[in-house]
Formats: sequence, structure tokens, C-alpha cells
Amino acid sequence: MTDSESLSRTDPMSPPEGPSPSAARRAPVPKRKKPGPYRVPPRAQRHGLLIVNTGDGKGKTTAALGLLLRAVGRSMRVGMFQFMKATGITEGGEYAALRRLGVEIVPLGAGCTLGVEETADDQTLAKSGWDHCAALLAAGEYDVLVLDELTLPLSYGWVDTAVVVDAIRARPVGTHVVVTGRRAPSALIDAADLVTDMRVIKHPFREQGVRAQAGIDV
Amino acid sequence: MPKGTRVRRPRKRPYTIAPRDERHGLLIVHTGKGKGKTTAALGMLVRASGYDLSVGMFQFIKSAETLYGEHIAAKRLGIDIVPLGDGFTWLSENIAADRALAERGWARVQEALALGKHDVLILDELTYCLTFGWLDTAQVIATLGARAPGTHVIVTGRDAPAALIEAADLVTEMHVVKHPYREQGIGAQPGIEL
Repeated sequence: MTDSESLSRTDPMSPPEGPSPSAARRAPVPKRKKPGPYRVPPRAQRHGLLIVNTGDGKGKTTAALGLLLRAVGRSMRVGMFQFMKATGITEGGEYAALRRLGVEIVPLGAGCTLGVEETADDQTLAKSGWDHCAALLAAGEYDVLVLDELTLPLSYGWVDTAVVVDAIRARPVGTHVVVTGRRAPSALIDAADLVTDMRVIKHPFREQGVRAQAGIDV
Repeated sequence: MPKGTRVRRPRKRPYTIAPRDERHGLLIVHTGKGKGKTTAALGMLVRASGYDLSVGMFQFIKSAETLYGEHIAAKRLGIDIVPLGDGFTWLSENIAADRALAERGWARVQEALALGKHDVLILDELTYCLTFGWLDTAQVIATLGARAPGTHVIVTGRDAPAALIEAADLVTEMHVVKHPYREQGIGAQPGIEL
């Protein structure tokens, strides 16, 4: 064992010493053809997907963030626009981390509307936010564009669902669009290629009264 | 939604990282057949890294040969995603070898949990090792239950055993409504599935 190996044992993320499990095998298993490096194909050869993450469970925005992480690793141009996060407020783990990765993440909304009554303010912000995203989408600025919590302005009627669906359908070839939020309108689901309904089986707030925690929920 | 005067609730204070003993260390399970189990775990990795928390991710089942987009990007955030396949094929003909691989991987997870260094530890696709019987569910739950206080653990994979769901604090079932492979035969694409 070399020095570096013995030192590395303080770090559980490093490979352990000892015989490899392959030693337990009687005969070596022939290796399958090694997959080549995955390259992102040119736009024309991609299947640009409309992905919708909906449902009441946790995981809609987080799954979109995970997708962004993947796409950034593939050097794709990605952006995240958040319809319900207050403009100008850029706190939360995803902001710091995505900025470090050079990913644009833009809050477009008026802030949390839970238990709050609507004003024209929200509508205007949602509309202008959508116009901004629609222009970027049409211009082909992004390979992956996340429209976080867009379903809420749609279900409140602040932004017209038919307009959004048409704009997404008419997007440049090979662009992936991810829309998140509860109560996705059926017209959006009809237009989508991939829809996941995040179902709550258990939630720490519901069962235990545990509130949002930094690093997990924000 | 009724019209009316808006009363915006002021946020009391910005979110900060509580000391470990004041955190609610959650056991989170992402299960179901739909897309989003691993990606949602990766999203939490992104969030946690934004707060400079210590994040670890072990991947069962996945081959060490494939470099996924998340591996490349997480490295840029200073996070190691460790595939436990050791370069060997999981789900080979040889059940004993698969079991040995799972046990060896689990030993590394136990080691990491015992060190208690991580604030967030992701055990990707661990459920398969439980449902295939490679690892003992009760033992796994007992080990996870005995983790350092304030540690969040995220387990992903289909068909999470009932006992694991029982032990968990947060469980989301990713339910497929539509999938491009199922309806359109579109395979995995870089940046989306890998």
C-alpha cells in the first residue's frame, strides 16, 4: 500500500483498499462494449422535450435543478426563470450554487403568495416575466430552459395557457423546456413529452411540523 | 382567487444553516417509476452546496464507466459523486458478485455515516439493493437511524420497501404521467437523463 492510499482512508469518498469484488468471481465477466463519451448532438438531432414536473409533493423544482446540473455538465446553455420568487431576492442555495456554475437564475415574481390575496402587481410581473422568457425561447438562447412555478400564473389566469403552449410548441428545434408547479393545466400536459406527478407520501411539515430548511427546501 | 388588498407577509429573517443539533436531519426517500428521483436528489445537492454544506453522493447500480453530466458539474462545485460499481457491471449473471458489490458499497456508506462529516448524504438507487435482497433492509434502516444528528440522507430508487418509507420523514412518489420513451420511443439524452 502506498502512502497516498493509507492517507486516503480518512476520506470515505475514496476507493477502499482490499481485494476487489471481482476476485470473488470464478471467471471474468466479458466486458460489454464500453460506452463512448456522450456528446450532446447538434440541435437538429435532439428530441427537444417539454417536461412538466407537477403535483403536490416535494421534488418539482429540485428535479429541475438536478436536470440543470446535468445539462451544465454537458456544457449546454441553460437558464432558470422563477415565476413566484420575488424579483431582486436572490437568497437560497440554488442561487449561490448556480451562479458558481455560471448558470443564469432569475426571479421574476412578486414573492410568496401563499395565503395572500392577489393584486394587479402579480399579474403584471407574471405577464412581463413570461414575455421575457418567450423572447429568449424564440431566440434559441438556451438548450435547456426551466420555467419554475409557471403553472401558478397559468392556473390563476395571469398568463394565457394557450399562448404559452403555442410559444413552447413553436420553439426552436432541440430546445428542452421544463415547466414546474402544482396544478399544471391539461393543455400543457397534452403538449408535454414527459410529465411527472410528484405525490406526497410523507412530508416533514405535514406530519412533524418541520419547516423549510436551508439546503433542502431553499 | 379573490381580489383584494395584498398583505405581503414579511420574511422574518434570511435562511441560515442551523447548528447540527438544531437541524431536523431528514431521511428523504424518492421512489416511484417516474423521472425525477435522482434529479431531485441532485437538486438538493445543488441547494446544499450553495450553503457550503458538505455533500456526498454514492451511486449504487450505476456503472462507473459512464461519466454523467452531473459528475462533471458536481466536480465543479467541489462535490464528489462516487459510483460504487468499481468499474464492474451491476446486474450481472453472477448474483454473488452483485451482492458482494452491494455489501462493499454499503460498507463505504457506513464508514461515511460513522465519520459524520456530511451534512447531506445521497444514496442513489439504494432501494434496488434492498428489494433484490443484497442488503438487509432492517440493518440499513438501523444504520441510517443511528446517523449523526442533523444529517440529511436522501435515498432514491423504485419500489422503496415499506419499512424504509415507515422510517422516512419525507417520501415523494414520482408518478409517470407521460414519458418520452414510453409514448414516443425517445431514448436517454445527454443533459436530460445522463
